[in-house]
Amino acid sequence: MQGKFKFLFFFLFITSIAHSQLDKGNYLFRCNEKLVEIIMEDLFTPPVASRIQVYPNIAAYEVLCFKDNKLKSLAGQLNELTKMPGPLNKVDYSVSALVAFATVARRMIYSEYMVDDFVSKETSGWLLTNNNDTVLLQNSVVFGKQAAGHIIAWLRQDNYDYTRTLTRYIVVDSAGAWQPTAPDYANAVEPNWPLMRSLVFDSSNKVRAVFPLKYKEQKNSAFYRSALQVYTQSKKLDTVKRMIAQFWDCNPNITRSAGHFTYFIHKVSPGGHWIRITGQAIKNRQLNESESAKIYTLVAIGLYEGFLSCWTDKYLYNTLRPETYINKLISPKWKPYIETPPFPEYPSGHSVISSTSATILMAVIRQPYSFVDSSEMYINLPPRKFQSFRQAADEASISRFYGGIHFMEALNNSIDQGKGIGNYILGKLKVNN
Amino acid sequence: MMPRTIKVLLSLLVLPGLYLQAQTQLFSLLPADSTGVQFVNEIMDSKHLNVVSYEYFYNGAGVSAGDVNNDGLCDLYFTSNVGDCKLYINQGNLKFKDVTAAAGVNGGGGYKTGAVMADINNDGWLDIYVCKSVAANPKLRKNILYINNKNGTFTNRATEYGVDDEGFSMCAYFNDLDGDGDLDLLVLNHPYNLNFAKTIHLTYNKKGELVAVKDKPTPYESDQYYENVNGKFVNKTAQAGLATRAFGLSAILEDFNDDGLVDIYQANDYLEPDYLFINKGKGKFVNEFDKFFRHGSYSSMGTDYADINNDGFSDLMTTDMLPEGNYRQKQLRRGNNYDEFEKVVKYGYGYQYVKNVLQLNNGNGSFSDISYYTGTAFSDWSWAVLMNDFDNDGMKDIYIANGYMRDITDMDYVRFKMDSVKKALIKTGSQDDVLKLLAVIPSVKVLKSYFKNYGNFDFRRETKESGLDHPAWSFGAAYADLDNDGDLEIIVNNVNDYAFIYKNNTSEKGENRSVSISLNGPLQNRNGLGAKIRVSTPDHNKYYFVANTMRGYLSNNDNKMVIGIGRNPSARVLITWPDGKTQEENARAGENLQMDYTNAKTPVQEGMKVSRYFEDITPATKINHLYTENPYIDFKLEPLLPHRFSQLGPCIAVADLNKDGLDDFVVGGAKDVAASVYFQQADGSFNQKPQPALAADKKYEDGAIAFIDIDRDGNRDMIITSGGNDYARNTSMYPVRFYRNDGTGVFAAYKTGILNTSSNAIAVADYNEDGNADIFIGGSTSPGNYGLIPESFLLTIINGEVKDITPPQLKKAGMIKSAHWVDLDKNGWFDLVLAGEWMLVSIYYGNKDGLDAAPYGMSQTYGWWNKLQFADLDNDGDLDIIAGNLGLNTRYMGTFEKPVTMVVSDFDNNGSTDCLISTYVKNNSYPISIRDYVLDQMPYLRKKYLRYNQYSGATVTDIFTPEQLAKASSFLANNMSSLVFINNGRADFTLKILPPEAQFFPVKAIQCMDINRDGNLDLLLAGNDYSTEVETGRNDAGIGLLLFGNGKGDFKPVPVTESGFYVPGDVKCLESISIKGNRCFIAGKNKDKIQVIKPAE
Repeated sequence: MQGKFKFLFFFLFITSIAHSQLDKGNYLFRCNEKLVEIIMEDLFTPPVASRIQVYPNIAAYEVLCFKDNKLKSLAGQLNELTKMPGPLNKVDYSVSALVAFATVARRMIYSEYMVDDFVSKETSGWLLTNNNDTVLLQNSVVFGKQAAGHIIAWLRQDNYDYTRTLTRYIVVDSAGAWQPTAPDYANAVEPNWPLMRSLVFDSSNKVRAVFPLKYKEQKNSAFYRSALQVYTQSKKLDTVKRMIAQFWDCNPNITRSAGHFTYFIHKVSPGGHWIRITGQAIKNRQLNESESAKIYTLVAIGLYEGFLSCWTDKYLYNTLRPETYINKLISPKWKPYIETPPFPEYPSGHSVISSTSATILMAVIRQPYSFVDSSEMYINLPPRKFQSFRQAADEASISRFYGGIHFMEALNNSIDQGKGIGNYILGKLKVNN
Repeated sequence: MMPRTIKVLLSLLVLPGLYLQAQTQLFSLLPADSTGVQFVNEIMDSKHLNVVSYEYFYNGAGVSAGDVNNDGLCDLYFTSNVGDCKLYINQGNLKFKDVTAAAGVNGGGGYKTGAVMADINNDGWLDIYVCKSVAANPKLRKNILYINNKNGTFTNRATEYGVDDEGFSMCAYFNDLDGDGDLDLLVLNHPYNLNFAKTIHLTYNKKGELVAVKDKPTPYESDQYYENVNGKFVNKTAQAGLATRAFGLSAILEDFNDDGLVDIYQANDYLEPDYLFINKGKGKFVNEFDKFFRHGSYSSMGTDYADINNDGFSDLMTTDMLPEGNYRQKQLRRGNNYDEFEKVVKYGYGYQYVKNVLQLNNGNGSFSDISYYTGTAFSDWSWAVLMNDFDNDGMKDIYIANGYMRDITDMDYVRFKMDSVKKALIKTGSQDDVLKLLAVIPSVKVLKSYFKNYGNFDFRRETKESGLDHPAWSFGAAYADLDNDGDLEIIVNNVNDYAFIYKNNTSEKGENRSVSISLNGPLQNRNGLGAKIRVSTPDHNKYYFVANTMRGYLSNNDNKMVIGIGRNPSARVLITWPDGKTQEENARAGENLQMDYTNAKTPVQEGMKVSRYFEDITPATKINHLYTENPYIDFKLEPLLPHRFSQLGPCIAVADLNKDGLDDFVVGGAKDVAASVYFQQADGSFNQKPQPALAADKKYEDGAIAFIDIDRDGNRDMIITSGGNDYARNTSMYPVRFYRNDGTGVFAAYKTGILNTSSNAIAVADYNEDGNADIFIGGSTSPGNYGLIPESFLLTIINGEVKDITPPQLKKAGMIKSAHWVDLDKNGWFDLVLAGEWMLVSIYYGNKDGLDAAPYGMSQTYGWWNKLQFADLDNDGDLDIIAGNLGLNTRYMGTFEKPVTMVVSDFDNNGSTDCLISTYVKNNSYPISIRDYVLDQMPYLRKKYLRYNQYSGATVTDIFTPEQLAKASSFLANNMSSLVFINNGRADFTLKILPPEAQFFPVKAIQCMDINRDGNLDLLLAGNDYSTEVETGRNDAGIGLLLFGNGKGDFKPVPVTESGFYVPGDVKCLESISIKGNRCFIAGKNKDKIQVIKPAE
């Protein structure tokens, strides 16, 4: 008797946990958190990471459109996305959405075992709460994979594979052109990213950053003054500013080096950071499955488009980093407080995507919304409190100036570019029927 | 239970076997119990001192050998980093007694590094100088000078002598640096802060350009030079120009330029390149590394300088850190990022590669790295290198002590593990637990490396065969004849293991003999440091040694020299003392010869008239032509290429273009540079004329040039093929171009763009005897798609019209580098001979019906052929073939048994061709590229190779599926030697491999001429390749080579000191040109100036 009771209790306990997990839409939270972790492990660069974040979320969203007819499919709204065929059998759409998310993600990341472990944990949890209904599970998985297949066929046409076959960045020596920077003098990241397919823009309506400062070396030039500004503030960097620079560093791959002893620290990318902020908001507001899917998808589209616009402009303007300019003209030994990432300076990627994310989040999360961001505790950085998404985005932006890796002009222009992209997406995409 | 008797029997059976084995090996490791040398350099990680907090904490300690008590037996002094240093007195029979306490030489506190022995106060007794580093407190870093009290005790008199240096000292070197006859001191110090060791630091030069920082060192960082002034040492570092800020780990103080003054070679760890401080006299030194060397090792550690080829010039070896085997090499090699490498070069840090270098002294002030040829490039994390004749066969062998307590360059650790462990520690709140971080770093004891010298540059790794296969972390090492039996023992200082004492069994074998030499030098230099010793034996061998005990790493060899003389009964010894006085003695084998300075005489100066076979006449020709190269980096599109194809120029073609009876020439330009036409003047100088048509076509890179009379007006018209790789996959940018000569040598565009292929080979002849010229255009590479066979063409010109008459067998004949019409079978019809990359030397024999459908391929000669030349080498009336290949001084070493292979396919179906080259390492073939490059080319493989260790052992069949490989095309190169094919008649050739000196570099140019006028043709070879991928490093060992032929197809190299044929640089062609009626040679070099060489009259 006692034994049976124990078993029952145990079963209920498990059930309640598992149930709450899938039903409250938090599985999408777990999916996205897991994906951020895998992207960090696999060392994807920020633009590539944004691509990996967007397609799985779209896959899950499109599946959930079958479940919740208030959600409007993005087919026909996103470039070249066609309508997804529905399931043939009765399915649990949550399971299908999870499987679709995971299957698309699995194709794009490297550490497939991490996805497999995740899915198997989720599905076995589901079985426990659903009377071990393996048939329903099977049908749901089949549909999830079918949905993923639809999305994968679509994403394969986005020029990613093609851009892998093109010439990597060749350093040019012209005045003001971007140069590789210490400590690794790494190859410029994704010079061919501008060739990637946009999800929402066509060639005529891209949101562009305004023209950057004209490169000048004269001491009375605006460019020099701007560089001097970076240099001067680096000399009076206080604890708070240091903390801000660290908190928003989000460089996926930092080098630490002493002698032959070198190692790399993997960090969550800028996009990952905003996915985490989004996840915190979804949790705080206890949003349901449909709302979660909608918000994650919109934010991920914002990230992808933010990086795409920004990268297009980066390689168009091909601006050097403050480090290069300051070393050449102000102080040969100067180093920025955080490591300069290996791609052109203008516009600022983190500023653009933070601004895009904040624009979208402020539209889809009930305002006012203040929050505590604990995204960076994994690297021993304390949480930070923000009054709004916008405040967080502005801080992310200015952090690049404190860190010494961007000129001030880039920040403000990038914030505007980000807003423009966010507003365009909000205006263009209809997510409610 | 085993009966006792059987046990005894077994042991009887086993023991003699062991004994015999030990006897037959060159060395036997003597147990510490037996020698009494129970020295261990113990190092423990602690929270504050460990490899993470301070890498140099793990750099080990040295051993110093010398007879400190003048009893005729060599004693040993071991330094211990943190424990007590030990002095062991040799009691004979390889038994030693620890007398440290009584002698008072334990080194005191602090962190001890190197130690050397020299008679500093010239009292006939060896003193000991001990260096210190690491400790933060300068007092704990005061170096020690133990003055020998001649009674078994020593007293530290460093302060009194002025040598209590408080810097971060690795080692010290005594030699006569100011040329006044007494011993001066150089202390090798380094900066404490390792954080900037590998970072480029920039500043402005006077012109306001960015250049690498040459920081003024702080007092404790710089090397210190102490000049001996009447027995006291005075610091003259700054005056001497020796203030440096580098991580110098070892040095060699010897005469590098044969001017009688002692120079300083300093091996620097990390980014700062090595230094060669040339002694300018009067105590002044200038770093002239770049004048002497073309590249160096990146993390130079140990050094030695000794004559490995018995040519009378010492050769230099510096050690680095890459392992030998495939797995460890892949696992521990952090690839060079191309942009970083370029930055390093741009800012003046020079070309440095992570590998040992063995710099062969050419005797003319230039050195050639032959570490790949000799197989000595990799020996794991290597410290001491000792080059001496350990088996008394007259040829110096190489011993390398190696190992490092933690594999901190293990790529999985670097990229992934450190990060995950750190994050896990953060989760548990113990992020500062360094010891936990350390625990995950792999720790592997490695085998030492021993290279036996078989002569003629044949070095073989015989570590096990020589009884030296004891894994350990080994650092300093020394050699000394500890048992006075005429062979050299090796003594090694190990971290956390007993020191090795290897007994040398050569004398017991009784085959090879030796002569021992002890020097009684001048009063101010009792041990004759710096004396040069030349030994000659009855069998006409000559050996060269320099009396210098401070070599290798942190250590000191015994000053009694042992000189192997093989089986000779005696030897003649000529010594040149540092002041130039000489003396000569005869010595019997086995004798211990005492050479006393008091018997030396001032030699009669013979007026040395140097007559050489060649002279450089470039200035007289007034040709000042620099071949500039456009910046294109093929690796940015094809990371797995072995070398660039965009850097193959210049090509040069010679002809009389203005009908004045004088040879003129055309030199091709790189992309964006027009070809230039030079006209010879009556005085042998050259000038140019404007060539608008050529300027208009400068967007094409010029691949090959040939002259032909297109319009039959009696003028030399011109064909230029377009070469290179710069317009990747844009097939319309490689047109074959025709230009008409107006009779004055000005060219006009005639036809262009009919046919396209990236080509570096043209051959012109009327092969079908129809009265029209037939032009073969050999395709060299498929731009952007390496591994796809490019198109070749056969064209003819009929009534000024260019017609494509390519027969099917020539369309895809290979990746051609050299094409020629010659009649090899003397049937009166031209044969077409082709050679190139991954090709056989192929002969399409011709007859009245045309060319053979299939080529005759010289069997087993798949190579990376660069150049063919034809001449009658054996005076039998037919043409023989001289074939220039990649050579054997490279990682791409292909042999019949162990070929280089390549698979080519679009493995990831993304529309771009993927190639993967494999080479043999020991008995298996592995991809030559590291994981990061392969994954860069084929991103899909990232899923398969999440970690480095998954890839590090992978072969091509592991990486690709059988289906993938079935679809791939395969290539093979099983003969990388440059050769001569002696023609015995149709399809019958005898293959003769050119000597090693001709294999040290890629032969890109060949000329034949009877230079020594003995009636036999001699060979002139030149070439290099600076365009290689940066892991292997540049092929820059070529300096031009003259080989004398014997009329039978055999060739003997002539040293450059004798030939004067010095053609260094990235030579791409060497053309014959008549200047003022004399046959001269014009050399075209990439990113370099044209050089003209003339045979002496």
